[in-house]
Amino acid sequence: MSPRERTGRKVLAPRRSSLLGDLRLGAGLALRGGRESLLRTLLSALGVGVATATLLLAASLPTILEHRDERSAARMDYEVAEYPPPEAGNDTLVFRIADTDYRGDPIFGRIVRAEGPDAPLPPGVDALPAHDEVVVSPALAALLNDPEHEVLQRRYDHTIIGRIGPEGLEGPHELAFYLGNEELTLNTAGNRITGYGGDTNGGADDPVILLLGIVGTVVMLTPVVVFLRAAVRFGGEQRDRRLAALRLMGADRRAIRRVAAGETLPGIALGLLLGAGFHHAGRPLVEMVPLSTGVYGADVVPHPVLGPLVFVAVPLLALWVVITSLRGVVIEPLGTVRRAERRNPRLWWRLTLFALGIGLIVGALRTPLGKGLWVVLVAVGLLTTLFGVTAVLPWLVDRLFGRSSQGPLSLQLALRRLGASDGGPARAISGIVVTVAGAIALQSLFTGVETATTVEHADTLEEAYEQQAFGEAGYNLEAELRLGASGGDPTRRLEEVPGVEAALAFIGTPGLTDDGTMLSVRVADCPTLMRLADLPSCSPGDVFSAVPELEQGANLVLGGGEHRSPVVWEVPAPIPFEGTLVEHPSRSSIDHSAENVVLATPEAAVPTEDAEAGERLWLRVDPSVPGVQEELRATVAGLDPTYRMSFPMTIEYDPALSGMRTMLIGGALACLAMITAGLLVGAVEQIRERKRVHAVLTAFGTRRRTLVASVLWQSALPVLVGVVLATAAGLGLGAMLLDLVHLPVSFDPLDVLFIAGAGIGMVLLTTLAALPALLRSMRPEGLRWE
Amino acid sequence: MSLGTTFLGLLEGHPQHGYDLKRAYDEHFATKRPLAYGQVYATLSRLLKNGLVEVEAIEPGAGPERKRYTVTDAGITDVEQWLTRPENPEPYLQSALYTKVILALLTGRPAEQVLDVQRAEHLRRMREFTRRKSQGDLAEQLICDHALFHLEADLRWLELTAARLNDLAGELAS
Amino acid sequence: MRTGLTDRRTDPGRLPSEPLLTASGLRRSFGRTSALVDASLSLHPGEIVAVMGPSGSGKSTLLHCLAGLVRPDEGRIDYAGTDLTQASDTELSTLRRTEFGFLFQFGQLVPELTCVENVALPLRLGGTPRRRAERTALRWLERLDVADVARKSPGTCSGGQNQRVAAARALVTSPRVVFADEPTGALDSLNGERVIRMLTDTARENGAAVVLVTHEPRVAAYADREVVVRDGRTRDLGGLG
Repeated sequence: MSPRERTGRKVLAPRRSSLLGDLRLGAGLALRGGRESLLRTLLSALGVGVATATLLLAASLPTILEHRDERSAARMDYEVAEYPPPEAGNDTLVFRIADTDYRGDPIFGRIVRAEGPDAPLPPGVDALPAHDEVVVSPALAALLNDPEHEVLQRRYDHTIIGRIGPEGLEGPHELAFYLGNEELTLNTAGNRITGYGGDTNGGADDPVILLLGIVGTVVMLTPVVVFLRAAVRFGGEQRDRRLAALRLMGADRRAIRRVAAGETLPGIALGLLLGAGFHHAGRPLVEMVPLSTGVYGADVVPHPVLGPLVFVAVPLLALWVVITSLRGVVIEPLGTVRRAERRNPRLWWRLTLFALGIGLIVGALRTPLGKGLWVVLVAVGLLTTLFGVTAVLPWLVDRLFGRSSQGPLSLQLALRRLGASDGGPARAISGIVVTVAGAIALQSLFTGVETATTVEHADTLEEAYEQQAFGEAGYNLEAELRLGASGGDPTRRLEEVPGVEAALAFIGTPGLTDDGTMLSVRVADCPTLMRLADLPSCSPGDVFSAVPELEQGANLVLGGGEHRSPVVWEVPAPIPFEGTLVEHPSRSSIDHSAENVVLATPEAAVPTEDAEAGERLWLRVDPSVPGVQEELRATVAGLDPTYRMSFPMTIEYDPALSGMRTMLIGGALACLAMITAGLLVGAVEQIRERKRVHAVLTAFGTRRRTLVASVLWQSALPVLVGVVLATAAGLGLGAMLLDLVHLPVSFDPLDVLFIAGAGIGMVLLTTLAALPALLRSMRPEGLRWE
Repeated sequence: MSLGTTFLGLLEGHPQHGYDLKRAYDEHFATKRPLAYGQVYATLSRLLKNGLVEVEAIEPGAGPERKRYTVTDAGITDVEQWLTRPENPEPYLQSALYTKVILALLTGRPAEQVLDVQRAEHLRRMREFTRRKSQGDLAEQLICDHALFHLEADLRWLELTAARLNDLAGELAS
Repeated sequence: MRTGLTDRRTDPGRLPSEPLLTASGLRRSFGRTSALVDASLSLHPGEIVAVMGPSGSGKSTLLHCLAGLVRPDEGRIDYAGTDLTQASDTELSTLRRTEFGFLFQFGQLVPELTCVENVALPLRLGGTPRRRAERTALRWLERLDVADVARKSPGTCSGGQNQRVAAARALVTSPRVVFADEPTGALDSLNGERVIRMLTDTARENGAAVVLVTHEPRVAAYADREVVVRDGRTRDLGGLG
């Protein structure tokens, strides 16, 4: 009689939905759930897209470093130069390393001379430059074309005959040149090679890029997770109701989780596509980033293993966000129960993290490590510390938002709402603190390093120069010319440079006596020699020395080079002198005196022209004159392009670090934007859910202004609290870092203000963007039920 | 409402015999027992005496049932007046049920049981009407609904009283 | 068990049988509020029982307990040999999917799905392929006279239509018990009557038992008997008349 038997219900009874069925059901709900679900799907897609693009960029780092390494190896010259050098031939090339820098940026430089038509070409160079011709990298060419860098143009006043191609450069922003010079020989400190290219050294030789990879990935992923959380929570109450309805119909908890996961699948799929698109579209943009020597877009290719891994990891990350957003939420058939979060177990490991982070930083700064390694350790330590700091945030937010009941109605509404929402604002604040505080802390460290005075030597640049000073005249700089100054007395031209107070020039060469004693031979006119040593008198043709075996007529082999043709000088009668010789402090630890030195006037017929001799310039420079360094380099390069010159420095630091400052501010802003976008999503979501409440409040006669203000407060408070906390934490950590490296604590208040201001601006934008939804929600139609 | 006015309304536009009148009344209004003939003719003769109806025709044959009645202008006015005059809502202040409850309370008997018994009975009747309703036509449904609504009102009173029995007992005791 | 139960039956066609669902001594508190103090109820196959009582009396909690949606603090609920108070979530989910149907006041339809998809949902959760589930669902919509809104979204239907769609969904798996909590609560009396009449008629045709929580006596009059809940206690008045 009962039709139940007819329907065959018993057959269905024990069956359950399949995993695939649940996922499909969820996906269907996400795609067909009207505007709200669609919006959530799009927002999740955006979040997943950014995460994917970020991680793809990180996954490309190995490729980037590998390619850079390969190119570096391909242009290797000095390591492949044979010793003894091969015979000159049609296929040989003589080069000299001329690496230098310009306003702190390193320049890769080579002076070359082809010895035959088949001389090897460096990678990326189409034709070897002839005398006074130069091949430059695009970045250097751009500087040379910029009137602002006139001083650099004077330094490289040569005919540019071509550009170095990407295959011969580390990156698009590398400054590099190959300068042709016909005077370059083995005697003038050249090396002979028959070809370029050595082995790759296999290691990641640019720790800055690696560091940026680690820190950047973590820092960028933090706001992405905050954003994703907001995105998957969009329409959350509606979703909870829907899932509860499914529960009522007999879906068990596992099925609910699968349906919820299924709902995120379209967003994830779309996000992966978006991410791949972002990656593809963003590759050319990467070349514009002026960090270190830059990165070629063509190098930004995900690692064959890591790349596909991203497409596995990101969906897992997104699913993790979804599952954790469901944690503490129990979907029951009668609705959703939110369980109080268990905080205590988390607190201790976060505090452990905090301690660990501080330990890492202190350890990294206290123990001498490689130049790159300490930065990485400090950065990792910083992040660890900051994640630890976020442990106390929920408590703090609760204190701030949960208790207060003062202030205007709008503030009260906002505070209550913030206190009621489960951890949303705390998460946003955490995100801001982690990213912005991290940025401020690292940035203050870099600011400190940049503006700092010497660690070991001096507090100021002036002092550093002073410490280098030698001789009665107080010379503090030395330059060495291997070809010799062209066009007469170099001292006069040097003294014309503003800031140069005194200049001296002499020719120096090693000399070997018959019994194998190595001597230092210096040739200069009498006034110069008198300044080098305390000579009794001097007239042209004189030679001064007290080396015992060096008597009149003795032979001295000049140049010292074993594989260069020996030049023999028959020494005239030497005149002994008393006292030590003036010498640059970094040159030698031995005191030079008449016992181991030969001083000669040019008229003594010293054959320096043919020997491996160099001209040395001593200068007294006032470092406080602006631009004196670059001016000097330009002038000295005009005398002899093979010059070498080093300036006293306060501290040695990786110049690439300064580029990171800009990157950090940019990263902090991007994070803020992402988090604010997350807050906006939350605000709009909340307005939609509270449509009825708003309509009722409006019906009561609540002024629009009050509601608008409450929404403004709601996004402003977390960001304000976040920025304030981040600033405090960032400055605190920065001060600690600076103190640890014994640098004076100094901050750039403008940078801090800039970040804080940007945060406030974004809050205003958020509110503005949420305004239409808010005004809509206040219409009386909101009073209608269902 | 009186039987007379109902007859006047039924006669309006349809001059009828007394027998037809009874049938029409039974069809539309009788709830349980059909109308007795005696009552029909007594009413008609009263209406005739008051000039509200008149005999339109007497058909051949014997007996009073051969008369055909029609309504007069005065009769129509009477119907109109009746229709437009609101009925006096009748308060049942002294219902038997109320008396039962008070007495039960005064004599210390379980008043709740009185209410429960009555409640069950009311619902039994309501189920009956509901069943009748689901088998009948629209007119039947309306009649049943009328009864159901009244029973429901009683039932609501029973519920309310049950919820306030304690207060009521307290007031009576004081 | 109680005697004379079959005498009270309004439908003489049914056979006397053991109760399908028996609950006794149910107690349930929410925080400091006691929703149920001592509630008992038994339900026979195919029987329609109205649970009445003033608001806050605990009648909804009783229904939730009976359906295994809420675990009572004390008491026993026996459904076809299973103690629902001890059953696992999975067991309860399976029961809800296969043996029970639910009809609430409002807001139970998934607004993202069309009416026919909503009705097909319980079947799909039970693993029935989509197409077959929707064919069955359509037949049920026809039975409840709402086949015309099958492809519409619940948001565009009237309250009465939605409620009949929900009734179709409650019945689509041919459950043995339908739990209806104020199914007419959000409807005017005409639409409410229509829904309750269709629900009870269809349930009777299908032999499904119904637990009908309502505060409207006219709705309760569609049941075979009534149970009154007052202050968390049940008073079975069904047979006294």
